[in-house]
Amino acid sequence: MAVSNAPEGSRAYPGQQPREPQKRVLRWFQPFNRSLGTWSFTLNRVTGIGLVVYLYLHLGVLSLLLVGEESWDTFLAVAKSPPVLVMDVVLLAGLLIHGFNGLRVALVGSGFMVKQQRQLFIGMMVLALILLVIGGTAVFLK
Amino acid sequence: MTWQLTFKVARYKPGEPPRTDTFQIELDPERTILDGVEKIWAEQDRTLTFRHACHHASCGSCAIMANDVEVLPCIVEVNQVTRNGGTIEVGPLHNFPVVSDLVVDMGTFFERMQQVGMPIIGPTDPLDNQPKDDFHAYENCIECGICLSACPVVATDPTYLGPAALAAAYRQYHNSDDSEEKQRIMNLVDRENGIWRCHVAYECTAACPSNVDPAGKIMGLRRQATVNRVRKLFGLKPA
Ligand code: HEM
Ligand code: SF4
Repeated sequence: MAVSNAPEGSRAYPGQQPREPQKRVLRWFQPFNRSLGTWSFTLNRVTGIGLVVYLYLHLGVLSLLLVGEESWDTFLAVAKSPPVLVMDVVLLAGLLIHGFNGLRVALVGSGFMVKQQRQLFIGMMVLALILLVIGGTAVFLK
Repeated sequence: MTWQLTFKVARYKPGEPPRTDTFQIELDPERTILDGVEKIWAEQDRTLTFRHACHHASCGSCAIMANDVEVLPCIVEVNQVTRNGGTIEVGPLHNFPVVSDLVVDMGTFFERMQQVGMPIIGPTDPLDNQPKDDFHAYENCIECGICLSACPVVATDPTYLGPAALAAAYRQYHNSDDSEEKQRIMNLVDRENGIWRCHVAYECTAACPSNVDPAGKIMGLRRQATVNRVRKLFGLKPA
């Protein structure tokens, strides 16, 4: 861990000894028993990582274009199958949750609506849900 | 009527593997978790180590985990966390090195509070000419460490200054008239492992037993840091 970054003259928090350091990472993904804030933290982290994974998948799939028309057409057929469409909705959910929560983090993080951060999170998630329902319906109706 | 309670206590002594001990006790439901821990110590196990002083939420020394949340066990009644016949799991705060059983090492934490310029012991200085509303909350900090235990960022970044020290920095920054002191504090917090490490989970504010709102103070410092940077861009002095 980057202990060198510690302010001068301070020791680092070595963490709880009986608990292995690896276990502390799990804390990112344990919003249970916690306040709403950790849900936002965990959701943002999970969706952020998910989106990065998707980005690489997406680039991988796009590279099929280099292979030729036939492989792309095969891919398109798969892409229109219901299981993949469900995945599309999951992706949309991730984008909406991450994007709107990201807006909240950016706003609150620069000192705006600090006192209403909780309501802001709820509002953003409601917005995301509405757009998800609209978007999800569109995905299946097309 | 007294309640029958099961206390599951996380035990750790240096050099020994951590374990959990189970104790059965009888307690009035209005008694506190600390009363329960003291009863175990008094009647069943004199090797149980825990810390406390004031018994009324002003010293901040007894903070522990109870049923997975940070509490000041001196003010939380057992009926708030369990029912008759129920179980209370107690353990040391997270994100601090454990010294023994429920006692954690607060050394680094106090050092950081001192770095910020917060006197740990000493009279509270009057806040001359300052809008008191902004600061009275900070005066409430009892240096219990609960906010650090609750923070998901402190969990994995041992160099992060942490909520309490940043809240103290906010207070010191605004309370000081000395531009050099203000700059010193800004340099301390306006860095990667200072105010910018926070991920806005607001757990510190939710967990703080003393209404300090450390997260709100961190956002206040961010805003101040941003204002100062923009002013610098135009060749102006920090506000
Ligand atoms: C839709 C617009 C987006 C907005 C408004 C946004 C906003 C943000 C913000 C403000 C953060 C910092 C969160 C924090 O401090 O905890 C963040 C983190 C992150 N973002 Fe985004 N983002 C967007 C899209 C994306 C996309 C498309 C990807 C992936 C390709 C992505 C990947 C990440 C990752 C990996 C993190 C780090 C997560 C963490 O620290 O927990 N974001 N985003
Ligand atoms: S800010 Fe609150 S939770 Fe943190 S040390 Fe001070 S009193 Fe305890």
